[in-house]
Amino acid sequence: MTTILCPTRGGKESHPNQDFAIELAKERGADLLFMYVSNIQLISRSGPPIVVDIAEELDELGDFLLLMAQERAENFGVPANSTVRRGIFSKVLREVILEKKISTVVLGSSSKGAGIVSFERLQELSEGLSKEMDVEFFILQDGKVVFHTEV
Amino acid sequence: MNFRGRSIQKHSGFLKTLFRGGLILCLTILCIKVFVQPGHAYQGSNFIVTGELTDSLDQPVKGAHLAALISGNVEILTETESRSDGTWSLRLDSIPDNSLEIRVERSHYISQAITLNQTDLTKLGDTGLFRIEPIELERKIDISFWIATAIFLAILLLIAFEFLHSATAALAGLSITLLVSYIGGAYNPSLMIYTFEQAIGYIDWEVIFLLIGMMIIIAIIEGTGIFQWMAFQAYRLSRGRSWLLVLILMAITVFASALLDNFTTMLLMVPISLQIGMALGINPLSLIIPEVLASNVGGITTLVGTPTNILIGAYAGIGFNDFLVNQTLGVVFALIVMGGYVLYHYRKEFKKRGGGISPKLYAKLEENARIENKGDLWKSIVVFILVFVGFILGERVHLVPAVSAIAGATVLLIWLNPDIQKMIKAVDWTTLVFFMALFMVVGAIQEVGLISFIASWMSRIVGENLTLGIFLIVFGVGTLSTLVANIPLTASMLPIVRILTNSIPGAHSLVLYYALSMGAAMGGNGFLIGGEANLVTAGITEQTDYPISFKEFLKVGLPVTYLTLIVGFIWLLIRF
Repeated sequence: MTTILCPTRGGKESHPNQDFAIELAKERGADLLFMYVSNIQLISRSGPPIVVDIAEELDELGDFLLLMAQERAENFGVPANSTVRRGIFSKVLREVILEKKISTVVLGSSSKGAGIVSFERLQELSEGLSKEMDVEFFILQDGKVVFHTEV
Repeated sequence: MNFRGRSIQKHSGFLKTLFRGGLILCLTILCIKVFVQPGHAYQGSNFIVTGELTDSLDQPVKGAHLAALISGNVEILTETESRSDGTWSLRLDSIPDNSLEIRVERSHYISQAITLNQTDLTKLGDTGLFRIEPIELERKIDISFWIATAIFLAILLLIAFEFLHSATAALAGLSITLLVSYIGGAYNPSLMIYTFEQAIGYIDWEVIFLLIGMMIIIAIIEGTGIFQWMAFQAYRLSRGRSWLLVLILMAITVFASALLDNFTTMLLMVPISLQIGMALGINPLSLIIPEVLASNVGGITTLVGTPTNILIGAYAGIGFNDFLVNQTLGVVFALIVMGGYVLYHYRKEFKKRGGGISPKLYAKLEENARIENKGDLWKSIVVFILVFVGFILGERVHLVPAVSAIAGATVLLIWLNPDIQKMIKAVDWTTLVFFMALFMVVGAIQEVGLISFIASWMSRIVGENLTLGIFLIVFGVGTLSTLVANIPLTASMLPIVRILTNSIPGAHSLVLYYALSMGAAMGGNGFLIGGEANLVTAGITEQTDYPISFKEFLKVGLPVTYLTLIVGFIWLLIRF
């Protein structure tokens, strides 16, 4: 059985991407895995070193966001799993693809330019990983597919 | 008589002889001292010439070198250094026949020479003490002034634009200052800004130890999850009414900020607030931005609520009680105005009614907001209360807050026995190094006269108008604080405020220091870059679909800043 991975940061802007991934999983009869990646390095650069265990706080936040995504998937009759990770997004993505034997990845890019990773970077990352790991990639903006690699 | 008895008799005789001889010697010396006249016109015990050194702003000048010479001669009769209050004393064994010259030298000041004529020397001889009129030293603007100023401005810019971490920037500035002093100063004395010993003298160790103590206490308390639990209770109590929820969350944030620092407060509040916002179906930023605005203001009610208050309290001798009594009501009024503006700005968001969340999500939210360790929590609360009792009552016995904080931290470490490695990590050494380096860098600009220059300029504008002085500091510092990091800004303003406090009538109530406290803290709400609490909040929300843009923050932050500054200013006029 194939597995579709959908990294998400929760919130209404992620809903179109999640809907696409849910629809795709339903169509293909694939497993669905939602992922949240936190990177505390992005926080610590902004001020003094952190004394609060912020990594754990972000993990709990991630759990909550992914639970919301899973509930949405269940409403469409698609069961979904979740995983919360820490680190640099591109590295974590590679690790999870290998670990969970992912066949398809659905990424979202903000059309307003917001977000940690730009569309160009996501495109570059997708092309690279697609060739290297034989994985299908979709990049969506405002719910529409703007980039797709086939395998 | 036995052998021992003969020996005792022999020794006692010798001792008597020795005693008689000593007595005669003492009497001889005494006679010589009293009756024999030397060749000089005057003779006898020490003669003291004393005086005081000040600068053009009537501030004492310490560390100046004073030497007494016979006029026209190069040989120094005696020398001394001026004390921290600017006073000095030169002791002379005898009084010269000719006039006496007192030379005054101090780096970054123009040297002076005072001559005591025969009349003055006669007075000295008669009374043994001669007091010179206060000597005003003029500042010397040389190349070291420009170098120290450029270094300080560079540090502010490096921190403001995040080219370097604040600690790195401060250390770099300090290193360059000392290298210029030692290497440059060896070739050209004008390049000597200050020595390493002088630099170290500018570190306020009370601030450092207060921070160490509070960091350990905070690390233990934050681990209990109490603030996240309080946020969840606010969600339950508000029963879906977002407008009520935001006011309760702001109140919790103010309470937390008054006890902890703003940075830690937001680290604790933002993740749970994001979840609550999404559970309610509203934009979580409508909860989070008001929280960060409240945290920047709420912290100024107590000595330990903001790093700037810790700096101000230690420098001006303003205690925990003083901040509470003099600031709390003003802050409450400012927060009421802030709350009103926030409700207005986010009115459309707060009108939304979400569909509620599933039992599963509710359970998850409750789990994320649980108190981790009730036993540790109670112990932490007990010690925390005792520390604050120490802050309040300690002032009666001149117990500095740093002692209460260190003692409280030690009790917690022993009582709770946490992982000591984690506790060592909890002490933010980078921030402590930043503070130490910053104190020394600000000391450099004090040495070269930049502080005096700015104070003099402000003094000319303000004159004796205290209201104008308060206005300038509240709004001037408040505006600068929107752009510049408030810790270096406050550290550099402190000596200026001291000068103004000493020169403006009525300022002895220390109102200008409270004005600095309000301006530095409230100004942090202006822009996203205005405070570390703002930046860390943005750093967390950036990891979700709710990043805070510069523009979004500005739309709320800037109006709130000036509204609260106005309230703060009016409060200070009423209170003082």
